[in-house]
Amino acid sequence: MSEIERDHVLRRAVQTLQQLPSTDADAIRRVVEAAAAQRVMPAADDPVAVSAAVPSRRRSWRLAGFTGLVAAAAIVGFFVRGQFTRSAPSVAVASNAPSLGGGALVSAVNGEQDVRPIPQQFVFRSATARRVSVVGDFNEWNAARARMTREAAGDLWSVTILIAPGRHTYGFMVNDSTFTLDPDTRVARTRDPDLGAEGSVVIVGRP
Amino acid sequence: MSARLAASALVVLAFSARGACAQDSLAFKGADRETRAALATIVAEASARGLPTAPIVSKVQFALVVHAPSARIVATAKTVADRLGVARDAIATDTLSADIANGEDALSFRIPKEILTRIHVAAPNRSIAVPLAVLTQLVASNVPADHASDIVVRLMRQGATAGQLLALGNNVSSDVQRGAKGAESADIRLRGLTPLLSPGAVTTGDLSASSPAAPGPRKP
Repeated sequence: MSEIERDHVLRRAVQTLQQLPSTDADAIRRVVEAAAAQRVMPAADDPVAVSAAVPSRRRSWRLAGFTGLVAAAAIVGFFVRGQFTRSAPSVAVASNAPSLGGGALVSAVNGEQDVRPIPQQFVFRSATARRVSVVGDFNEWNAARARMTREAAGDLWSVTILIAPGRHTYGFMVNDSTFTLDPDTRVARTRDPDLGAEGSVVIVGRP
Repeated sequence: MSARLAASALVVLAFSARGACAQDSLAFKGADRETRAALATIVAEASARGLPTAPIVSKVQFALVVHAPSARIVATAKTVADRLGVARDAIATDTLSADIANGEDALSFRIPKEILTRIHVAAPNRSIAVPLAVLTQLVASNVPADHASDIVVRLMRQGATAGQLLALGNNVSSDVQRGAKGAESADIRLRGLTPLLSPGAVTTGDLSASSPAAPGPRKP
C-alpha cells in the first residue's frame, strides 16, 4: 500500500479530485470547499475524528493551511499542464502570425517540426454580420476561441490561428448562432461519417 | 499536518488538477445532464487508457453545433474513443496525439488499420499527421483506400515535403468537386509531382499500382 493510500487525508483529496466534472473556476471552488468540508466534518470512520479534540484555533489554522495548499496545488496544476501536455490540438490566437509561405521546406516525414502548430488564416466575407468566428475541431467548435476581426472599410473578416498539423473540419459561426460552411468554392467539404453533417476541410502542414 | 504530508498533498493535487484541467472543455453546453454525464464517462475512460480526448470532445461539440440527437452524440463519442484506441495500436504505442487524431479520422472513413500501420512503417518515429490527413482526404475524395495509401507511401519514400503532400490532397479534392473521378485525378496529380521528387527511394512492387506511366507537366 502506498503512502497516499495509507493516508486518509490524501486519499480523500484524491477521491474528491477524481470526481471533478470539469475544471473551471467553479470546479476549483467546489474542490476547495469539499476538501475544507471534509476537514471540518470528518466521517465517523475518520481517524482524525476519534483523535483528541483539537483546539478550534489550531483547527482553523490547519483548515486555512490545507485550503491554501489545495488552491496552490490547483494553480501549479494549471501551470504544469501546459508543460507536459503533448501536442494537444488546441489553438491560440496568433496576432503576429508569420507568413505561411515564409518558412523553409520541411520534409513531410522529417522531425519534430511536423507536430508544431502552424498559423492558418481564415477569411470570411459578410457585410451584415455583427460577429463572426471560425469554429472547428481545432478549437472544439467554440466560437469564443477564434473571433474574427472585420477590416475597417470592408466586409472581410479574418483571423489567424495556430493549428496542429493534419486534417481539420471547420465552419464559420455568424452572430454566435448561425453555422455556415466556408463559401470559398476552392475549399473541400466533407460529410462527417458519424454524424452525416457537412463541414469545410483544411489540411494543415508546413509548406 | 506534517510538512511531509503537506508536500505530498501538494504534488498529488497539482497533478490531479492538471489532469482535470485537460478536461476544461467538458461543459458540453446544449446537452442534457444525462448526456453530459455519459460523455464525461467516455472521456474519462479514454483518458485513463492514455488516449487523447480532444478528438472526442471536438466531435461532441460538432454534434452539438449541428443539433444531433443525444443518443447519437453519445454513440458517436464511444465510436471515436474506440477508434482512437485502434489508431494508437495501429500506429505505435508511443504516438503523438496529432498522429492518433488523424489516424482516428482515417478510420472514420473506413480506411483499414493495416494501412495506418503501413504509413507508420514508412516513417517510423516521426509524425505522420500530414500523410494520414492527405490519405484521408484522398479517400474522402473517392480514391480507393489501397490506391490512396500507395500514393502517399510512394511520396513519403521519395521525400515529398508536407507542402507537396498537401497540394496533392487539396488538388484532388478540387478536381473531384469539379466533377473529376478521384482515382483519375490522384494519378494525374501524382504525375505532376513525380519529376520534383527523388526517384531512388521507391521500391518496385508494392507501389506498382500507382506508378505513373510517364512524367507529366510540373505542378507548382
